[in-house]
Amino acid sequence: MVNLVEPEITTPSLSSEGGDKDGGLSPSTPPPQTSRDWAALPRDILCEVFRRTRHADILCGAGLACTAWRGVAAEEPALWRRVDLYEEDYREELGYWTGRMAMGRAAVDRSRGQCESFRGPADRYLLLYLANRAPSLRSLQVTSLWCLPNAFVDLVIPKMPMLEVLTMAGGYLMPSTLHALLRHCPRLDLLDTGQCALHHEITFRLLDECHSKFNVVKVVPGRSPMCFCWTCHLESNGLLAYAYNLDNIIF
Amino acid sequence: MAAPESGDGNNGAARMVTLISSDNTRFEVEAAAASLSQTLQLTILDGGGGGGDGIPLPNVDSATLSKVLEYCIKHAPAAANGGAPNATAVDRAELERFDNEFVNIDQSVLYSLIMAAHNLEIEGLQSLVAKKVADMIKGKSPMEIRRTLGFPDPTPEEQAEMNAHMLEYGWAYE
Repeated sequence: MVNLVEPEITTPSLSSEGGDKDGGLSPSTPPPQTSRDWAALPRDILCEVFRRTRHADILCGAGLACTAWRGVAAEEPALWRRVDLYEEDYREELGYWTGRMAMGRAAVDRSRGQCESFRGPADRYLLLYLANRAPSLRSLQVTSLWCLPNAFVDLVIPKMPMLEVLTMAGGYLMPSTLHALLRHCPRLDLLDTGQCALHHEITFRLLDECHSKFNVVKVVPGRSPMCFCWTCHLESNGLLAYAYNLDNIIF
Repeated sequence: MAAPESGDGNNGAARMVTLISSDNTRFEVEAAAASLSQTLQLTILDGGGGGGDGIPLPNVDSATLSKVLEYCIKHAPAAANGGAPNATAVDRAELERFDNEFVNIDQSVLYSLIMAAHNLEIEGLQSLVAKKVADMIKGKSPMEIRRTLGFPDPTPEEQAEMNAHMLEYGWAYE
């Protein structure tokens, strides 16, 4: 029955007595907007829009459309608390890969230490970057091949003491990672190793210990002699510094 | 779960309030519908807006207000049921269909609507229009967004600043 009530437009009356009383909007609100300047959209409205925009789109599109939009995209840490850079249509190209890693770093920068979860492709350098800048990280979902060599484990895992969820799409799992998780991540509840191949030194005893401490899913019984991730590939070809411009990245 | 039959009607007939747009057009609407606006809700609870008084809305013109009220009237019954846990799937699908249709509008109308939804603090409408704008900019490059939304031409300083950022974010353009 409510549906039947149409907004009833009665004769425009001259209400010049200005009797606002306590009703209506507060007089401090700005005068009616006449221009339709999307670039000047109020900050909190734009935040609402960005909250519904994929992070990759903010980083590569909307966040660069104009100065005002850039300001909101770059200076609202709340937008970056749950970083999600996962993309289904992943491309096997070096430029695409290094671009994604740069986007990951930019997203982490913008969270200003407030990042609580990260989902997307990440290599050992991005994990290191994240570990140094996201002390309250609770969920880490790596959607690219997982690779954390021994030299990196102790620089990364001990700095993620709040970690509750760790998932890997696939890759290469070293025993040192499992040892570090057991030692440094008391809150870890879910470890999903996806399609990860296990380093041959991962023993059943170590796996048992992991099972007793947290839920471990999808341990693939296969073992692998080597890692196939981008970073390892570049490294073995001596191209790492060139591709990553590592000198310019501060970890 | 006994939802009142009609809004907060005391004696059968639903209570009406009058809203006055910036261009002095008066809209009479059920209090329950107008109360979707957080801004108006308190005034209405205080008994304002009834009779000949009306609540002036100096920031909302009549075209926009009529659109806003169309939304409120459609959504008021579901809101009265507290998010409508007992709403049927058909009702929800109908609201969804209405919402999709509702934001399928000219960009300048959408702009007025987004400002009004914000001023009047109508949560559902705010999120509906924000989602619409997000859909409009989805997957677009900065230049495509500027064109789509008709941004004013950048000032030389702005252009220089954006150029610097485009260098910094070179990866975005690979």
